Amino acid sequence: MPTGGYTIAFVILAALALMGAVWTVTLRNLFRAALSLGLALIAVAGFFLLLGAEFLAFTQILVYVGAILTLIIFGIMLTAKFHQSGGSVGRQPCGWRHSLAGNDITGSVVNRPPLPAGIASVGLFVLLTASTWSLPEHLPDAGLAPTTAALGQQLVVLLVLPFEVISLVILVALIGSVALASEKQRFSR
Amino acid sequence: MSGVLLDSLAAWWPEVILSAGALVVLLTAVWSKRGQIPLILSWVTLGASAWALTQTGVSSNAPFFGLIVCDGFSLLFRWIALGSIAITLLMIMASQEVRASMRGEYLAILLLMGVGLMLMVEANHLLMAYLSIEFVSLSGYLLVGFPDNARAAEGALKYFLFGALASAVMLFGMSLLYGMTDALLFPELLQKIQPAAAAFPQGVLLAVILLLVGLAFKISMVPFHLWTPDAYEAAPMPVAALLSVAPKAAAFGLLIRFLSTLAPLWQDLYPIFSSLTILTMTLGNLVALAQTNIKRLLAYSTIAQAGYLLIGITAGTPIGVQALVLYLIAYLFMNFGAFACAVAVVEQTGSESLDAFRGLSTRAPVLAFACVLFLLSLAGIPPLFGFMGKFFLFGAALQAGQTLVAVAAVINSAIALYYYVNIMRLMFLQSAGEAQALQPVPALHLALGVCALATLFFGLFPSSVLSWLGPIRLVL
Repeated sequence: MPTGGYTIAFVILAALALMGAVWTVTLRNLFRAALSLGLALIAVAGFFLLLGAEFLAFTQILVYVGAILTLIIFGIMLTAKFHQSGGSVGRQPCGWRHSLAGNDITGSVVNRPPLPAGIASVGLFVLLTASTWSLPEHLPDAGLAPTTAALGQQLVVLLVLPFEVISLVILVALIGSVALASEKQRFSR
Repeated sequence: MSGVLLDSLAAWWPEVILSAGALVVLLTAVWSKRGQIPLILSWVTLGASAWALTQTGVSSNAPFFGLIVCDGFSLLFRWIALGSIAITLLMIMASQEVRASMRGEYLAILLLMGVGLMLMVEANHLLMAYLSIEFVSLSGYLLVGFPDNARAAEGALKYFLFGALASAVMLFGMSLLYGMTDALLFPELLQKIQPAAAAFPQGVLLAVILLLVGLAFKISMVPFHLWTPDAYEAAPMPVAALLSVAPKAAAFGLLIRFLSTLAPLWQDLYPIFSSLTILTMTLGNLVALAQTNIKRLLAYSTIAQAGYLLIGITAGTPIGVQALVLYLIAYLFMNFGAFACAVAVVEQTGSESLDAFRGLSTRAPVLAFACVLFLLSLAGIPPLFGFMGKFFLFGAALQAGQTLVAVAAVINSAIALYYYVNIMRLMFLQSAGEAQALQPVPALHLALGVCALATLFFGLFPSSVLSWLGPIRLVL
């Protein structure tokens, strides 16, 4: 059975994660929603730490909180003028920037009552809880050994192929995004 | 250690060559913006990769510590992947639409997609499966979004949003499955799925269903087909053709491998598969009846074809899987052929409406004849290749005692005949009016010729293909 300290830490982290997640989808202000996402991500990193995966926890903070959240906030700040202009843009899809940042997509999703989505997620939650309720609980061993050495070994031996293939996937993503963006520059409308 | 890697590479040279070639194409494209050099290099790469594929053959040991398998089953699908990339390349050469926006990056992404397609059918590990699906999907979104217009941007964005959602759901299912079985390698999963399913019956089933959503999205099975017509309509014609064949074939390969891993659960999955199979072909065919745009019509036709292919899985027998692979090979040629005809018409008339096919028999008799060949094959009329595939598929369903599925498939074939014949009616019985004669470019002639010959030849002499199906020994 979980010890007292473990349970308290878990409850606090769970509350933070849930609060962050709920705020992320309900807050109207995109900037605050992004910060709430950060809260949820940090709480998840806390779970990883609690489960003895310290490398995963720090990677989570470095990559998600440090890089991806910053990227999202930059994105919000750079596209802020589209939101200030209000609903007068109309439904004229004209290229990536409008589709991504304009009212076309974000506006319609934000303004729609989230009832069906809410029902679907509550349903999935109930289903998941019901089906995994009987799972045995494994607590991490008392002595937490660093996992980085084993992970590093795995990455260059057992998982060498996925490691290389991921670099190809990133290459495709990079080329593609650069090519798409540069094309828009040439034909800026 | 290095010995393992060298042995692994021996089975994996085709993919290595393809990746390296894509990088070289990318580099040369920096200097030759619109030149022929990247295109020629792409052909050289494809040729070298195909040659390497003939040399590797089937390896018995599992390369890369068992993360992938290079057995006879994946060998067949690797050939399908290479073949679809080659035919797409031919169609790209013939398409002004793509050439206007084509750069070296386009070709590099196309070649790298080939690597992803090959990996998808070799995957023997949940991580590899997810990675290869993402690889193929990402390249797909980019290829759709390349042309510089609002329609392509919208189509690619829709495709991306649907795809990202499907990937997320699939990843969630994978993580649940790993949590309950503690296994990532497929053979290990096969051993541990039975005890796990006994301990958490609903949990394992839910995880597997969530996981299958990702693959169902790739093959545009019915509740997850919504992206298909929009993405195809937005994409340049050759890319739409590629998306309709290559990722679907690879996803079917992965689906079969995955289901053979989940064989202990088949009793629970079977009702879902059989009902969705019937739904997929019926909905695809009924909606196709109402289409007036050739791209959307072909998109719904591919959804219906995916329904026919699913029969092979629903049958749940080795014969069903063999019939599926046979039909996939037929589908490769006839669907690419139909799309190539559409490229020829759309390129020269500039219209994607079905009316552009009016009087094609007088404007381009050879093209019209080839088009009839592909459409009849898609409809499953003997003696064409498509008929052989359907014959074996329906036979497999009957043999497995699934009369309902077989009857639904036959009724659907009759419905499909209506819209295929409608295009023929436009081509042969309607006057061309003011429209001018069509003269497809040589590259398209080659693509059409290869597809038409294969459709006709393998239809008349199916034994040559049947001999390739021998190595498929996966049992569902």
